[in-house]
Amino acid sequence: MEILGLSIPELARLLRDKKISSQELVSFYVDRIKKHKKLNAYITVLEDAVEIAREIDEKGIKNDDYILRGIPYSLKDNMLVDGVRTTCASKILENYIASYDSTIAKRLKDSGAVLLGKTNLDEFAMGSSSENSHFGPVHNPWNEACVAGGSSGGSAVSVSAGLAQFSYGTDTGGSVRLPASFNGLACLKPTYGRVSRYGIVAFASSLDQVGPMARNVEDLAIAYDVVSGHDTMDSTTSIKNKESLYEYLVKEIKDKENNFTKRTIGIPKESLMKGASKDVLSSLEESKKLLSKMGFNFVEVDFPNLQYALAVYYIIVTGEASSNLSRYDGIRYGYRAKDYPDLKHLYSSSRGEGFGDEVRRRIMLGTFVLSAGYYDAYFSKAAKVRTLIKQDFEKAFEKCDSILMPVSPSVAFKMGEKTKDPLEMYLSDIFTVSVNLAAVPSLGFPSGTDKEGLPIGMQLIGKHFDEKTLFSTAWMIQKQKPEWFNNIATTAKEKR
Amino acid sequence: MKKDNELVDKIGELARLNIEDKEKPMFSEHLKEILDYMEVLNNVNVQNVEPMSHGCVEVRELRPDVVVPFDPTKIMTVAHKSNNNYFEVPNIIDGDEE
Repeated sequence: MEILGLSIPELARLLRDKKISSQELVSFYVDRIKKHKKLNAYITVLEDAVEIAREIDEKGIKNDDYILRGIPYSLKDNMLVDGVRTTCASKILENYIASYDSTIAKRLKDSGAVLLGKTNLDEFAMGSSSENSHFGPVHNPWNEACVAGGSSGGSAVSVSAGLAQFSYGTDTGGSVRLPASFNGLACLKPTYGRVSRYGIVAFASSLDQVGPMARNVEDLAIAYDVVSGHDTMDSTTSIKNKESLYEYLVKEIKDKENNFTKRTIGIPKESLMKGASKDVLSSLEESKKLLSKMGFNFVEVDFPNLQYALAVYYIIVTGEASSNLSRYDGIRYGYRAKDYPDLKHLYSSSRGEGFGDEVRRRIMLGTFVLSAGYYDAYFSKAAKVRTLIKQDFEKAFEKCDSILMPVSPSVAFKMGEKTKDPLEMYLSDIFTVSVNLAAVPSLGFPSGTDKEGLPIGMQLIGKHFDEKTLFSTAWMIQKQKPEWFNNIATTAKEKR
Repeated sequence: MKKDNELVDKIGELARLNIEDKEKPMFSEHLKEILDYMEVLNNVNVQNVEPMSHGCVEVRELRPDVVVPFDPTKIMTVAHKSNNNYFEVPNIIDGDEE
């Protein structure tokens, strides 16, 4: 039986009809992980995954069990799982074993989904290419000389190369959407407060949000349903009632499609899209034409403050990171330097040796923008411009229900191309960071490939807590363009 | 360049972050480039604009303030050294360890 390319609902059906066992399914993925080790998608592969699947088979998978029971997935290695190493791809946490479950790991465990392993990332989720890892860079399975995108590159590759059915990353400024787009996947950056951050290693707390990645929209909705919702362990999670978006897609939307396509989609002014490559712009045009044919209306929206988003983002993100990462000091846990004449040097040498270049660069920038004499000019100013960016979105949403734009100005770039110039790397995030600053949701979807066969991704940005509109629009796009979805990366395919 | 290295020295000290001498020119150059880029914010008028200091868009609910059982032994397994569920840290008073 050909397992690759099946969706979660299809696999769930096969498991319930006993046409396949969870053990077979998990073994299939574990074998593929071994075969594609060179992609470097995983930092830790769980040795007991097959055993856990066997126990699930033994207990049986019944019709009314949760749909994810027995289905294998992966988690970015900055999410705690009790008893499992969590490295954040950093030397400083190389041997750190988590002593409790993050809320999302707990919810997934309770659902019966089987964790295959922890995926590679840019150290502490700081990067746009997944090249800044203590464990080596992640390779893009569509072209191994290209980057996977970051920072959740391992998670994206685990799904696009068929090394997991679905996965989770964290999106602070695009870290779920960018790698998903470079890998031809669907993904979601939920509204801030939709998914618990309890047990997720903090990077920039006012921006961090966990998001799922999958090969199609149904899988994405299922992966989002299981982890989202209020959590008493994270006071920033929303107390709003949440409904199952998967149920909504398969049961309700059918009758409502006609009403739906009367909705309006905003398109950012052309001048805001400069910097995007020709291929990306023509893909945007193609998506627009498709939606227009389906009946959607379009309106041009302006974001006067978008030009400041990247500067605002890199001030806020580094400021918050420098504060969050001050806990890694070599005292209680984590890497400790061998030689230190006094306490101060114990701190500075442990941190200097334990953190990689990009993390140190961001800690320094963050320390600077928060320091006496510069706080007002940098951090405080950025927090105010952030308000203006949020207001730009509010104004845009007076005219439309969602906004369509590319995820990235380009397709996956060559490895090493931007590592020498951090600012050039930061510019990869130009279309993603404003979503995090405004705390709104964004659904990324694949929109075909360029001439070289590298995936291009678009995003639909929504109003606060209106993930529903994004999912239903993406669901309809998938129906019109099934060839954009459910793809396994070419190089991984050849070797299967 | 010397002046720029001073900035790296000063921030390194504040952040308790060791930067080797040979790394300083690279970090100086990058910091300068990025901070120059951030000057674009000088063009924005933020008079009477309130800062946005968190991502929450609704009123938050706090959980009840009750004590829950907690077993410290598990968390101590990550300690460099521990004694009776206390972290044992290097001696810092006279610089003599152990």
